[in-house]
Amino acid sequence: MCTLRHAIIATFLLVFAATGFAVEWEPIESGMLQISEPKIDKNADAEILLWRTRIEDRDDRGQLVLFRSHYVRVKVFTERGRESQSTVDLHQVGKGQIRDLKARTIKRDGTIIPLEKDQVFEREVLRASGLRIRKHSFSLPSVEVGDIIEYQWTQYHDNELADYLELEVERDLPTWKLIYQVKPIDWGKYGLRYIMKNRAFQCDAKPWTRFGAGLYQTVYENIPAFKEEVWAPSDAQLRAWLLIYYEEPENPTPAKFWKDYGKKLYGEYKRDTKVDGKVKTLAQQLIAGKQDDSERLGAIATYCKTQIKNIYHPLFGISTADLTKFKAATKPSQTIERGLGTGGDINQLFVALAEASGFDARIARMVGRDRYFFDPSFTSAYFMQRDSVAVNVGGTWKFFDLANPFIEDGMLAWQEECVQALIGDPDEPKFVQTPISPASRTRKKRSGRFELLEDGTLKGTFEVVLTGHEGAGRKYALARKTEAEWEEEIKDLIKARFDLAEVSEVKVLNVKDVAKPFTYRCAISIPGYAQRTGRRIFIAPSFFERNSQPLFRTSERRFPIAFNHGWSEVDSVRILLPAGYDLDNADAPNPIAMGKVGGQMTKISVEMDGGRKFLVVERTLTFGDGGALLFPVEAYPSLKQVFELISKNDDHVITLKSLEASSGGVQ
Amino acid sequence: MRNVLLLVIAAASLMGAPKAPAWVNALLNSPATKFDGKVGAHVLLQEHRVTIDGLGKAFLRVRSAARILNNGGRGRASARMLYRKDSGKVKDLNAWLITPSGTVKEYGKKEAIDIALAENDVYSEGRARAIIAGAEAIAGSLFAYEGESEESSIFTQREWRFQDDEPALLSRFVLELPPGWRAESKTYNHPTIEPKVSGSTFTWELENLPPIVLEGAGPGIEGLAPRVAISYYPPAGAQADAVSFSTWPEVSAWLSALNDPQAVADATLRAKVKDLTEAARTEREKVEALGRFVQGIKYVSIQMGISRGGGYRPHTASEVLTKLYGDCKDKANLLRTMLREAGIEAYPVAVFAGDPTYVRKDWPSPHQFNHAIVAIRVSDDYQAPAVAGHPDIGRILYFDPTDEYTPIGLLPAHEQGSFALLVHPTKGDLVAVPRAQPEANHLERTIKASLNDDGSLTAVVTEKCTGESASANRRILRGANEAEYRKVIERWIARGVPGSQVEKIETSDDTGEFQLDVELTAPSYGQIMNARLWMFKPALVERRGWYGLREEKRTQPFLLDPDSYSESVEVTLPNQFRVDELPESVELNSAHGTFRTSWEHSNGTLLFRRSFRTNGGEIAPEDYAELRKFLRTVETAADSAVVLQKQ
Repeated sequence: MCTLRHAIIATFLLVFAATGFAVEWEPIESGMLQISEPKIDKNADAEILLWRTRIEDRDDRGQLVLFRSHYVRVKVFTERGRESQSTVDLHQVGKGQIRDLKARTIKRDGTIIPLEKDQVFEREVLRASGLRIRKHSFSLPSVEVGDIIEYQWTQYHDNELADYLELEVERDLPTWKLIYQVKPIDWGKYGLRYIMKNRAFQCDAKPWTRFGAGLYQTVYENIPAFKEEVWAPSDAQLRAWLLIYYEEPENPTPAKFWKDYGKKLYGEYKRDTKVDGKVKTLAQQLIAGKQDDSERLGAIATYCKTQIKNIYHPLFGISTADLTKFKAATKPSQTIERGLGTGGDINQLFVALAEASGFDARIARMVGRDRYFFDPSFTSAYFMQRDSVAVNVGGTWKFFDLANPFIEDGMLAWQEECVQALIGDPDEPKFVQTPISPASRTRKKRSGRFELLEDGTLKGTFEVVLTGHEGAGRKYALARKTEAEWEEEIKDLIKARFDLAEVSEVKVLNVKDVAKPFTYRCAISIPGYAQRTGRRIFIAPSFFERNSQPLFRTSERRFPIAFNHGWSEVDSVRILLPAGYDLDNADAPNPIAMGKVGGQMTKISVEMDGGRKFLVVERTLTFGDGGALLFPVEAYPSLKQVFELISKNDDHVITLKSLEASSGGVQ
Repeated sequence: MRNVLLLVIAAASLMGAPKAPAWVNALLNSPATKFDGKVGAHVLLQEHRVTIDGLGKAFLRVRSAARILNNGGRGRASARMLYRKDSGKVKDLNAWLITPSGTVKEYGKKEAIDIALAENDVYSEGRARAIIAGAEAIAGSLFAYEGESEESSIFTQREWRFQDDEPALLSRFVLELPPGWRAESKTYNHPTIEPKVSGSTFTWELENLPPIVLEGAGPGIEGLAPRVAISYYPPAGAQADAVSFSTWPEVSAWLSALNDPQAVADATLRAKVKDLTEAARTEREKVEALGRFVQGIKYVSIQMGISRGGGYRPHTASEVLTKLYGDCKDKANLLRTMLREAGIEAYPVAVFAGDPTYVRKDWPSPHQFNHAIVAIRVSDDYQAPAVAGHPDIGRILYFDPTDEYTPIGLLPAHEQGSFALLVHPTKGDLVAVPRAQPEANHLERTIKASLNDDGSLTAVVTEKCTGESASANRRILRGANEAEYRKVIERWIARGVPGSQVEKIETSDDTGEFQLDVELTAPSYGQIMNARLWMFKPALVERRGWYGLREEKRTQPFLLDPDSYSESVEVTLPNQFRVDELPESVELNSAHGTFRTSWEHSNGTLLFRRSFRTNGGEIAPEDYAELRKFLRTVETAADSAVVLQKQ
C-alpha cells in the first residue's frame, strides 16, 4: 500500500478539524454487577464484558491520521484478576497521542468511583533522536473481586492508515461482546477507487452493517480466551482475528488474481535480474568443466552462498552501522562487485547467473509455514513474504534458497518446504508445491563411549552431529557468538538434562563451515546416573534421551499439532559394565511402528572385549517422513500416547545384579 | 597489533575521521588478559571524580572504558549518567567505540537517550541519560565514555564499589574537597585501602581485580565486591550546607525529620482507615486489614542514589493514597500513617533488601540501605515470627508492605537476620531484624498413592506450607493465569512421574498457609523389568526450590534459610508384587540441621517418611564441605528406590 499512501499524500488538499471520540459511559445492566461466576470460562480470573474499538481514517489538515478509540469493560472474578486488570498502561510512540482517557470502578452495590485526572500518570519513558515513547498509566481506584472496571481512550497515529490493519478477536481474556466500528476514508472524493475490504481468520465472519454516515460495525460474542499451545501452527493460523485493508473494488476470482500477481511478479524480478556482461563472464567461469545441470547449478549456488555475504545473516557479522547505510542492489552485477547483498539480492544474482548459463530460472514467492498456511481464496499477497529461486531442470522445477548459506544443498528453509510457491511468468504463472526433505536429511547422529562405576556414576565421552534443519538452526543460533560462548551453550544444554554432571573438553566444530555438519564433542561424568540399591544397579542406557521429557504433557488440547520438519535420530552407546555385576534378564523395549510417519527401535546387546563386558545400545527414531507434520487436534491423544511410548522406551532400564548378592526378601 | 591499531587511528584522525580522546587511545595498549568464556567484558578503567564545593553542590565526572570480550559483554557497551529530575542534571555525555579493525565511532547528543529509570515510575523522578552501542560492539571492541553531572547534595558520605562482576584493570574514586576538609574511609570485602592524599584530594584505587563469579545461594555482588565507605567533614566551626553522621541515632533522627512531616492524614485517608477497619475487632485484625490494603498499592521500583535527601523523603501519605502508586518508602509511610489513625504506633525501618549481610555497623549512614519497611508496635498478645523486642519501644512487628506475597507476621527471607535502622526522632538505632524459626517456613507434604498390577499409578499430592515456601507458591500462582499455572504444576509432576496426567489442581490460601492439592494418574509409572521386577521411587515429586550444590568447594559464604519440611508417602502396592529391596532408614544430625527417613512395609502398604530441619545462617566457605555432604545426603535420599518382585 506504499503506492496508495504516497498517492494520497500527494493529492490530498482537504482540511478537517480534529475532534475527539470521548463517549458517555454505557449503561450497565444491574444483573452484571451481581454476577459472581465467569460466563465463558469457569476458570477465568476476569472476563471482558465489552470491548468496542472505533477506527477512523481521516485527513487532518492535509495529514493522514488514524484514530483508534477504545471502550473496555471488565468484570473481575478473582484476586489474580484484580491484580492483573486493575492497572492499565498505554504506550504512545512517536508523534501519536493518547487523549480522552477516562476510567472508573463500579462496585457490586452500584457505587461508582471515577478515576481522577491526577490519578493518571503521563510521562516520558524514553527520548532519543527521532524517537519518543510516552506512557500513560493508572490504577483503577478501589478495585475488589466482583467489581466492574471500565476505561476508554483514543489514540491518534499520524501518517498512518487502517490499511492491512490486524484486529484481534480472540484476546488473552474471554470476551462477552466485541464490537469493531470502522469509518474508512471516502476515496471517491479524491478521484480514487479504493474501498475497504475485510477478511476474518479462524472465525466465522460476522456481517458488517451500516452504523452511521460512512461508519460500519461488526459484532462478535462469547469469544474464548486465546491460550498458546506447544507444537502448534502460528498464532495467525490459530487465533481469531480480522484484517481490514484498502483495495480496488473489483473482486477477481482467485485464479485471475494470482495469474495477474504472478505476471506482475515476473515483471518485477525480470527488471532486477538483468544479465549483463559481468554476469555472463562470471557464469561461464563457474560452470566451466561441470558435467551436468546438477553440477552447474551446484557451482552457481556455492558461489552465491559463500562468496556473497548476506548482510543480515549472522555468519557474516555485518555491523549495525554498516547495515543502516546499506541499500539493496539495483542489478546483479552490482552484487558481484560489492560481494555482499540482501537475501533478495543474492537470490536475484542466482537467477541471473542461472539464466546466463542457459537455465530457465525464476523468483518463486510463497507464504512461509511459520506465518500462515496459504489459502488461495484470500486474494491478497499480504502473507506472501518469502522468496526463493525456482529453476526448470528437465521439465521439473527445482528450488534453491541462497539467502541462508547454512541450508544444505537440495533443501529449503523448513518454512518454505511443502508450501505452494508462485512462479512468475509473463503468460501463465503457476503454483508449484515445494519439495519436503525426508526426515533422514535432518539427522541427529550421536555416539558415546562410557564406563559405569559401581556407585552409579557414568563417565566417558560422546559426540553429536547435526545435519539438515537441526544443523542449520544450531549454526544460525551460534554464528554470531564466540567460541567460548559456543562451549558454554553446549555445557548449559547438557546440564539442563544432567544438572550434577561435570562436563569438560568441549569442542564445537563447523559452526561457520557451510559444507560440514554441526558437531560437538565432550567428556562427561554423571554421578548417580544409575540407581544403586542394595544388590542391584538399574541403568537406563539410552544416554542421549535420558531425562528428556515427553513432547506432550498436557491432558487436553485445543489446536492442531504442527511440527516444523521431520527428523531422525541415530544413537550408538557403548557402556563398560562394572566388574562383579551381571545382567539380570536384560531385554530391549518393543519397537514402535508409525507407518509412513516413522518409527522407533532400540536394540540392546552385550559384547565381550578382552574380558570386559560392554552394554551396547543402538537406537533409531524417525518422525515426520512424507510431510506428515500437521495433525488435527483429534489425533492428539494418539500422538501423545506415541510419544509417551517413545519416552517409555527411552527410559527402558537394564538391571545389573551383584554376583555376590543373596536372593529374595526385604533388606 | 596494538601499534598497528594506533597508527590506523592516527592516520584516520589526520583525514578528519571520528577520533577518540587521548585517554581512550592510551587504553588500547592495555594488556589483553584471557578470561573464562563467561566473562563478557574487561573493564579497563572505571573512574569517578567527585568535587564538593562546600555550598551544597557536588560535581561528578566519570571516565569509563571496557573491552568487549564476547556478546555477553555487550551490556558494557553503554554509558549511563543517573540524575533526579528535581535536584540534578547531566551536563555532558560522550562515548566512543573502537572496533577491532580500528574504526572509531563517536556518540554524542544525537545518539543519547533520556529514559525513566523504572518504566512504572509514575513520579518520573529518577532518570538517566544514556548512550547504548549495543550490537555495534562486537567482540574485541573497546567502548569508552566520559560524562559530567551535577547534583544538589547535602550529604558528606559516599560509597564506592570498585567493581561489578567483571574484572577491572583499574578502578578509581577521587574526592576533591574544599581546602581544610578531611575524609575518612572504611574498607569492606578487602584489606584496608588507604587513600592517596594530595592537598584536599583523596584517591582510592585498586588494580587488576579478578572477575567475581557468583556461586549461588550466597551474597550478591554488593556483598562481595570491594568497596569503601567514605565520610568527609568540613573544618571545625565552618558553615557548610551539609549533614554528617557519626552514630546511628543521628541517622535515625535525620531520617525521622524527613519522614514524619509526610505522615499526615487528611480526611480521605481517615475515611479510608475507618472503612477498612470497620469490621476489625482486634489489634491483629486492624493491622492485617491495613497491611493488606497497602500491599495492594501498585509498587514503583527505583534504585538510585540520593541527593538533597529527596531520595529518602516519601511522598505524602495522602498523595500515595490518591494515586495508588508508591515506592517502598511511600508504602511504608502510608501504612504507618494509616495505622496511627487506627490508634497503632508504627515507625519506618530502613533495610538492605537482597543481602542480609550487607549492612555494616561501623559506618552509620543512610547510604547503606535500599529499602523501607515498617515496625509496628504491638501488644504482648501479638505473636508472630516477625515480632521482636525493642528496649525502648516495646514489642515490634516488622512488616514489609512492598512484598505482596509475604503476609503480616512474616518477613521475606532476604530481610531476616539483617541489620536495619529503626527510624525514630529519639529512640532510633540499628536493630537486628528477627530471623524466623524453621517451623515458620514449613512444608508438609502428604502423598497417597496406589500402584496397580498393570504398572499404572494414581496419587493425590497435598502440600501445606507457610513462610517463604508459601510466599514462593503465591508468587507462582498469582503471577500466572489459570492455564500457565496448570502448566507449571504439570511440569513439576511430570519431572517425577513421567507420562503423568494431572486430573485436578486445587489451591487455597488462608491465614498465611498455602495449600496445593494435586490428583494425578500415570499409565505406566516405574519400570517393570521382564514383567518380574519393579523399581520405583516413592518420593514421587521433587522439592521445588531445592539448593543447587554443584561445586565441591566455595570461596563465598553460603546463605542458608531456616527451613523445615516433612513428608509422608503411603503407597498401596500392587497385589502381584512383594517388596524385594527397601532402602535403609537414615538418621542424620549435623551442625547444619537434622534429616530423617524411615521405611515401613506391611499388609501391602509401603510407608515412607522423611523430615528435614535447618536453622539456617551464613555458612563460611571452610564449612561448606560439611554442609554439602549434609544436603547431598538429603537430596540422595529422595532418589532412593524400592524394588518389588512379582510373586
